[in-house]
Amino acid sequence: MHARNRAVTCVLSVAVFSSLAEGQARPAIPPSEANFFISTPAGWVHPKTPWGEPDLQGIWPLNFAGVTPLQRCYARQRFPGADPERVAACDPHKEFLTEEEFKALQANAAKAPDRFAAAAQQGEAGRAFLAGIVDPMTPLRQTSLIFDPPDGKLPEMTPEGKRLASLMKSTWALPAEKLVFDTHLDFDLWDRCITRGLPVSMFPFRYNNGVQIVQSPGQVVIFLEMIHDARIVPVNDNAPISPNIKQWMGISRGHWERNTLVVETTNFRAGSSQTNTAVIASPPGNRFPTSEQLKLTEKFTRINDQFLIYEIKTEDPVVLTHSWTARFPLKVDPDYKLLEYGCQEDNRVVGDWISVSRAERSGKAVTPPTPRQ
Amino acid sequence: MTTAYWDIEDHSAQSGPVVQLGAIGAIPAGSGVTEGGSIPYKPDALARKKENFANRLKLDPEVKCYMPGVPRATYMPYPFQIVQSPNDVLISYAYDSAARVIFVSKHHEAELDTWMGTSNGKWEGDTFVVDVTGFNGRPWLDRAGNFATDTLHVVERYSLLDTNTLNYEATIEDPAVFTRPWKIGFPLYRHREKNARLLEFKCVEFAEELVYGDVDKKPDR
Amino acid sequence: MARKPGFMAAAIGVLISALPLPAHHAFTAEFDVNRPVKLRGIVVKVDFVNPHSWIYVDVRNADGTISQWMVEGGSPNALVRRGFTKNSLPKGTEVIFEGYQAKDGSNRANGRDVTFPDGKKLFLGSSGPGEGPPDTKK
Repeated sequence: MHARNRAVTCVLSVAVFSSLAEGQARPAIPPSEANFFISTPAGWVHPKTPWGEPDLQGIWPLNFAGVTPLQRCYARQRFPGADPERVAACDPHKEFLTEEEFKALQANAAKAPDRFAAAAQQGEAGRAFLAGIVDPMTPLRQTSLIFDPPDGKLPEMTPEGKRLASLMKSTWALPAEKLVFDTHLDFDLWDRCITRGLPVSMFPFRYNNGVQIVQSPGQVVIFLEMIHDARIVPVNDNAPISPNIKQWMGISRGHWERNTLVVETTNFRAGSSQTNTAVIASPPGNRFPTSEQLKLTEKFTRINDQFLIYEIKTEDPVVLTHSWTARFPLKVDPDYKLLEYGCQEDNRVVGDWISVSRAERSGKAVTPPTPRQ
Repeated sequence: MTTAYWDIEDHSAQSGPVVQLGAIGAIPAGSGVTEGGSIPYKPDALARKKENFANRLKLDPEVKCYMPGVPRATYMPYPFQIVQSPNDVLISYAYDSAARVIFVSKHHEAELDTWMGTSNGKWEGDTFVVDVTGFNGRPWLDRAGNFATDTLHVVERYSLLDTNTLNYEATIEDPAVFTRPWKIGFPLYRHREKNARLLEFKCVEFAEELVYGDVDKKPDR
Repeated sequence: MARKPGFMAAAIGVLISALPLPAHHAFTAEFDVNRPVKLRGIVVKVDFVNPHSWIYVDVRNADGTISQWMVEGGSPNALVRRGFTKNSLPKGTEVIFEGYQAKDGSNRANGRDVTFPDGKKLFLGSSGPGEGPPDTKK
């Protein structure tokens, strides 16, 4: 009994010692494009869960990347003040700002007025109510969220992709589109409070960007605040997945590549939009289709106590001529309050917009639908 | 397996609210999960429960795939998964993808009134005790119209009876509705199918024809 | 072509600051720019629900009757994170709200401004434990 205890203690000591030694031996990783200019301190040891897996747990709100454009050099006539000549001169292969450019951007952002704080300070609770609806955001040094294709733009759709896109509906209009609403099917899955689907659910929105990672042996859960979705990822579970079960959020499985969590998701239902106008420089209208062949590969790599690098690769051979990959850092925020986001319980969008659409077309006011309980 | 999702009190077999479903939509008999047999309603609350029952197709939030609340989520006829980490415990319910985080290492006050409430958990020996407050008063307790208001307070107790069976108890308290706190209790059985996975039941989509039926334009024939 | 230093920052700066970070929807789709409203009334309740919160206001009409209006706000989650609580705009508060009426003519308006009559102020207060002044920057 004593001998075994001593052996166990010995093994544990060796494990701790070698981990410390590993850490002490490791030099700092200085900031560079490879780590999004976020350094890893010398001797940093990746936190581990009690059962020995890399620990990614925490709240990693997506609004950290909320003001970075999805696409690089994306020209949209709608942006007031966007000089077309200057946008045309934008370098599509410049992935990161220089240090000076980034400092200027941060200085600019710091000057932006905080209408909520101003209203609260002035005793204008009503104005605060109207102003405080957007989660705070910080500029990043990268010029776009998309890194592949190398010009930072979404790939072209296939002819079938374009055909499917033409059938999609949303409350977000295409340029010069006159929206007409007559049934709930004239709305998109997000308007209908069904889902934002994937990959969009892993991209920033104006609000409710909470993402909480919870781990237990054999499972990682990525819990999304927006419409309360817990993405359960069994880890190192190679049980077969039936091709006949299709879900809006697909079916995920994960494995570790050293300290990186790799999550592969398949078995999607077709129909959610791959893009959402809430992400700056997204195509308008939320009409970027997904097919049942959608496959996502995500990577979560923690590089110090505060940051992880998130990567998401989207493949859909029915819709896309090429895959696309976005990459951005996320920062842990233990004080972020993830709150319930019930959606359908008080969703007036479908009923109200149909009522408004009919009133517009008939030229007179229409009795609004009965309020739901 | 209980029939508590139909009715948490003792009930005989009876036809269900949708005649067209025949036996599929009928309600089997069940010993209720309520300790003492009946819920201690105040008189006007009991009247409201009866009204709920009489109008359950219109009023039961489950019909429209609204979030189930606590404790109803625990005895819905759909599975759920408990993911236990050192700091928090997450429960994901297949029904409506409802989910809740139970704060363990750092407790939180309820900041908003919600469907699933705000849950704070702690261990008492081998029993996980969860205190739930901050309800919005809108979920029901079952399909029979049993209900509570926004002063509902639930204390749940989870403990293992054996490796594959949990004992679940919940103490329910709402001074606006009940004359005293009361309890429900029943076992929960672990799913032991090979390759068991929690699958999606985003039922909002399946309630749309019902919810929007009177608003949707009918197709021209 | 020589590019001035700081060009990209300026371009992106312009794109970011010029962007009217969209609210949930473009309001002109639902509300009518030709139907501005500015009404005074008493807050009956504030519904802290998603996807939109609503302030219900009882407005006394010229003929003495009362009309109830609903004024649209944003998601309550972001508000709560900034320190706005369900008690910050209490029932019974007199307000003046401005906005545009819904295109179907119902008593629904998007909230462009909500103020208090006669120069009154209402601070958010703190109803949660340890709730300090809202954090303006993360």
